[in-house]
Amino acid sequence: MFEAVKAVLKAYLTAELLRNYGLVLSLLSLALWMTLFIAPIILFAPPTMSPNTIAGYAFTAVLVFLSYSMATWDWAWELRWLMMSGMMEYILVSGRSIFIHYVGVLPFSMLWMATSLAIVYGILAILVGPPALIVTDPLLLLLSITLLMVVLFGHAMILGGTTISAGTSGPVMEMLGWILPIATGGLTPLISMPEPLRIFAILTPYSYPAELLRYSLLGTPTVLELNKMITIGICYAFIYLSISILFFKLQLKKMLKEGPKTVGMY
Amino acid sequence: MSLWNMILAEAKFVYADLFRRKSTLIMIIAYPYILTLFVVLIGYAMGSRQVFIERTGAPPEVFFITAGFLLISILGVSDDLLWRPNFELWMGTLQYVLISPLPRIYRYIAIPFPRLLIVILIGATSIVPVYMYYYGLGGLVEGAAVILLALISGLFFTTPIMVLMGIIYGAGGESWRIINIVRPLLMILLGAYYPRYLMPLFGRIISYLIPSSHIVEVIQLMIIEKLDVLYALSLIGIATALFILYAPIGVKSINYWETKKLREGIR
Repeated sequence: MFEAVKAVLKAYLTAELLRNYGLVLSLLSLALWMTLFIAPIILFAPPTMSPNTIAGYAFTAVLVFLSYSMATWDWAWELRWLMMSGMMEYILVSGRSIFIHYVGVLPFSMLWMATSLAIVYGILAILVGPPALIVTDPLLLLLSITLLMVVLFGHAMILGGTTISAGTSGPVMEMLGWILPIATGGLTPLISMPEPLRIFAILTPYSYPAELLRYSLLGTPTVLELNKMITIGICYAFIYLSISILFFKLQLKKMLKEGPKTVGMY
Repeated sequence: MSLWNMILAEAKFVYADLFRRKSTLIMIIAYPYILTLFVVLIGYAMGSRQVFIERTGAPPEVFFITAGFLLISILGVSDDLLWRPNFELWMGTLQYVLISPLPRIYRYIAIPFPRLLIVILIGATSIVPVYMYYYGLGGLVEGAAVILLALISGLFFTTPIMVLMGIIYGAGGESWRIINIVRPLLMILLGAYYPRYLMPLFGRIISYLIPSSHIVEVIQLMIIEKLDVLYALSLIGIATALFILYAPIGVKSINYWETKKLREGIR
């Protein structure tokens, strides 16, 4: 099993990061896209507001957005990519769990995410000022990151399960990758969202880790009492993960009976 | 095969694909709204709408729906031009395209035209409703003017893209990696999201070399109601002159990389 994980990790590191300056060029591309959308956000900042606070808010929003993107594109889209390149059949007949493949992919995607965040931090420091991130409660920060990862893994399993059963296309993934962080309070504190959107956001498991993350990094007040937020957040995240794994396994079983779908390029 | 037939064939290809894949159609329509929500919600979370209006002279919702519309329109018209050789290469059809007896340049002229109609669709579903909400019936006229200018802007983006295509594809290697850097860079310099008068001098100079950035400035002046007709006409004139200037260079540039490919073969 360890050999399989090592092989996947090595293949991805070589193909995506090392070959043809892939890492440098991809990070440059990401930095430019981020600059395109971050630069105009500065125009909202009142002159009295500290540039570091502005940068802190922008950094936290980008952190949540990139986490969603990682779950959508690195984890869920990976299954479609395997189907597109005709590798899914080989993984299935190898008899190994598909999750072993993910053990190899996860360190790579985490590394990618960490580097992307470092780039975003650098852009904000140049354009606005170093983001003011004050960790008041390290344990709460750790909990919020763990909950975020649990919820996003569940999210990837739901999207991945749908992909292997229906061959979900790129535009659908792209829409979810944009709409979910917006609609579930990933970008904005729930307290400053319009009422109907706030109610919708609080009904989803995504809003709890995002609120806790903002509270622990920026001190932004949460929409519910903190203890309530933590309790509901933990329960909801693990229930969501269990349901999504169950759903994914059912879809996998269905695929083993019917064979992988034929999908187009995008 | 005439140029007209090429355009018709490309149009059939584009619209058949668009209406077959409903998710793409929905995404194209939704994109300006999604991008607006993304920027505006972060902006509201850390700042104020009033500050934005004082700085730019336009409500953020109007400013960013226009920016999103321009971004998607320009990418919609010229992106296929920029990516087509790569798509052909990945599908294994590039060699057949290169040896076809058609005039090379016809293929690249045919690509943007059918996509211009999509710009009208995006404008009608994004710009028009938002403008009408903010400005009433007058918004309909203003929206129509912005759509028309966006069409010009999309078309004017094609000749500099042709120049870049020759350079990028002619250099060889994994051109998609370079394209992924050039695209966002051009979008920044276009000034749709961050007006070019706020850019540092170096950025502004490069921005002036892009024909579409002048049209973007006209649109921005229009939405902040500071449009001087003479100034706008001179900006459109500069954009037209640049578009014409890049055309022969673009043709030569494409001929250069295609001839190079014919000589070296396709890997």
